[in-house]
Amino acid sequence: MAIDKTKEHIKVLEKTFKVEPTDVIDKKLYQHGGTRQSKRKSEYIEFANRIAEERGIPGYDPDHIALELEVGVPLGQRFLEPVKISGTDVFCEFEDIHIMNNAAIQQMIDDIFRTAIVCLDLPHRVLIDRYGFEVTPESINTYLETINHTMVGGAVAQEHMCELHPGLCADGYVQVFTGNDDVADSIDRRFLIDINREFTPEKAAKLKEGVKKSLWQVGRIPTLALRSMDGGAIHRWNAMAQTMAFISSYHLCAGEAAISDFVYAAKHAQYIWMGTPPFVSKARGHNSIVGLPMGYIFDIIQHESAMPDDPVPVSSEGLALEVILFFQLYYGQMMIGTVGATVAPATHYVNDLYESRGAHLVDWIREKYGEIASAPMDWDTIHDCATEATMHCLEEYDTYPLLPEHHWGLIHAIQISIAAGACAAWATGNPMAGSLASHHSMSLIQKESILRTGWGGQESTHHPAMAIMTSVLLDEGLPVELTGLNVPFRSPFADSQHFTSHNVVAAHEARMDAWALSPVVKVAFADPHLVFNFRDVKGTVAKGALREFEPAGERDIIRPVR
Amino acid sequence: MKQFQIPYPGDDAVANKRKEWLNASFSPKKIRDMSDEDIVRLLGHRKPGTAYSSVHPPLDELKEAQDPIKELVEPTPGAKAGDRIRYIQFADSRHLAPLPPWMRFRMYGVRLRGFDSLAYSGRTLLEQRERDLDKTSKFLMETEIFDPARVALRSITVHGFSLRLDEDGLMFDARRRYIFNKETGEVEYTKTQQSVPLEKRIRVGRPMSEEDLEKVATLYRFGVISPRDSDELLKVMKRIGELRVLGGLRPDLVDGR
Repeated sequence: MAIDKTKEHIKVLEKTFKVEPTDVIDKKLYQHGGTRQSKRKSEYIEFANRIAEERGIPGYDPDHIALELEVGVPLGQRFLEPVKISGTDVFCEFEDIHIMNNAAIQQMIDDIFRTAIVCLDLPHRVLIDRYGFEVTPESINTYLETINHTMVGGAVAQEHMCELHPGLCADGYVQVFTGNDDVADSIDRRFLIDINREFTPEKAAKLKEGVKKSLWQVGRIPTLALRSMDGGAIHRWNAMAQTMAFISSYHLCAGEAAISDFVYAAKHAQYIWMGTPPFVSKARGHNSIVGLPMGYIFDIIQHESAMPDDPVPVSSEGLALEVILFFQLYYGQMMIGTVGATVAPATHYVNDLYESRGAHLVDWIREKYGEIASAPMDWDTIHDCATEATMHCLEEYDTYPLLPEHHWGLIHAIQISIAAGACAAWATGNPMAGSLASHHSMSLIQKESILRTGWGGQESTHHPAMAIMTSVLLDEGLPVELTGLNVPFRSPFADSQHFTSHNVVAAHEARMDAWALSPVVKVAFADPHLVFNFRDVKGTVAKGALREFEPAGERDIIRPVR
Repeated sequence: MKQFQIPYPGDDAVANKRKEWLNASFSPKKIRDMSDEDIVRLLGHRKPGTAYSSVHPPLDELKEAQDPIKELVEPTPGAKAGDRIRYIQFADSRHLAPLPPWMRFRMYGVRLRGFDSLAYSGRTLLEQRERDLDKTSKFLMETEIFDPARVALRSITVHGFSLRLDEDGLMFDARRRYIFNKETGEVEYTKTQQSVPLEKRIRVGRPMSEEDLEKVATLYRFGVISPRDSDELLKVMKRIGELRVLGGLRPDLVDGR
């Protein structure tokens, strides 16, 4: 590979490390300033010292542990590089993208799992068929105004109830949408997610065809409720708010037998979970990352498509979202905790690397197959795409020693597999092709080329994945869009999840699809009132890194004034 | 131990080097002498000259249940004596360490008995009964497997394989267990693999030249022997990958391929 300093990710490395990216010697190794080279670590140390002094129990103290007790690693012997959030001009430290340190990332997770989606067709049928009532635009608007009161803890049936401080629930509200333009036009605009306004005409048409004439309700349960309880409480919260709103706005009898139909509708009948309950050892309620179907990743992100020219921008947004959810949240925090896994997943959405490699692979696909999503779905294509992506990445790692330093440990391996999967998914428009290419790259091509893969046991999922992921059995493969962490072979390791979800995003974007698994979920997350901006995942995470993102669910109102 | 050769595709220098390591009778070049005491000091499990501690009585003194496997498998000396299980762990730099983790892991499989191993991205753990491990460690550190600059002993804080090298060409070690002695041109360990300071420095020899490292390399590398040129290997990988998928999807599709 000729040295090419016009590559964006190489330019960023050169800028941040301030050395030639082709140098294999670090002349300042061991002299980079220890922890004090990091603004954030310096801040942590000073903050922790104050805490230790106030409470009398020592806490975070890396220099003492390493240099005085001589038991910990002396941090900062190597250069701790700042990183650029891809697609933005924001530079930050890796510290700033740890979930616990980034309010935007936390809100992103909260916004997904505090969402309650339910179809109103069944309760409307109950009103019409069982009660003999008329359901009109006026009655629907009255109901919507009422549920926006009950959703944030407002009482409508009994007087002696403790209500919630609206300031704690400012992000709680309810909206609706439908694929029927006439019905949509009759809904009070304050409560409407307007498909025609939020999507391009082509995608709006496809989505309306998918949603059909049903009226779907999207409830945003307050962030503080999710954080105080967990995702399993969301459908119950929605059920209480929704049922009480129906009882009140249609003047029903609280407690009569027919009310059970409203409760059933609000919690079960046409309720869309953002995640099914996890398996026993990860026991949680519904709406947990463990049960999130991977197809929803494409449906949640709302970034503007650049197709038919370029599948990379939307794929890149999907990659950022899924590595945060599956790798940083699930694996890094729920499975590991504390320092968790932040750097490895974050390398997928920093330094414009994915975009740079993606541009090469898109050019290669066009040259070899013609158009995006036009290659035959066969093993020749999968192998050729996996090989090209793997070789392109390996060549970069050998040419620019700064790159493997940035991608230490297993990171190089998962980066290569992501590129391999994206290449096959873009070429064929088929997520299964991409997923097989990812596993093929890891378990065979890169392993036999350089004789190293991920950390211990890591690749053990990639070998069986080749054989079982074409299965549609519940505990083996499932159709790619439906699969998730509840499928046993994907659950235990760091890099078994986001490959597949990424290939879902890449393939559906290559096909110019309006949605992957659910048109309803796609529209639900087009809501412009959400706290986290799903149209710009990386940009919003960057705001969090800069500490400029304002999250919801804060308790300022009920704590002592400082 | 039975002699055998594990087949490997390809006929270039890298493929042939891999075949050598996958042959149980291959004798790697011995390039240094190290005393048994120094090996024990570096391992850090016991003091030189002290007896092996045991986790159970010698097998000869044990009354064990009837087990046909025990009649088939000859126990190693460490197992016979009831030694504790101990470890040695090597980090192998991506900058041309002779045996990257999976090659090292496979080499262990071909040559060793009574062991457990785990290949990570940059390091490979090896566990054996203590006296068996002492013998293995001596072999691993005295032969061309161990380049003092690109291979390192470390049980904790293992990262560094993918980082740039220091000004003497040594692999990064955040715990600085070894230094380059500019006067002798040798690498010297100042700490055990656990990073506990040693009473005296232990010399482990001179680093190989880049040319020599390229000659013993077992990985494909752009600028040396490109993985793009490993035609036969890629052909075999393609076939294995396809058969895995077909075998899982519908085994009958494998018939005739």
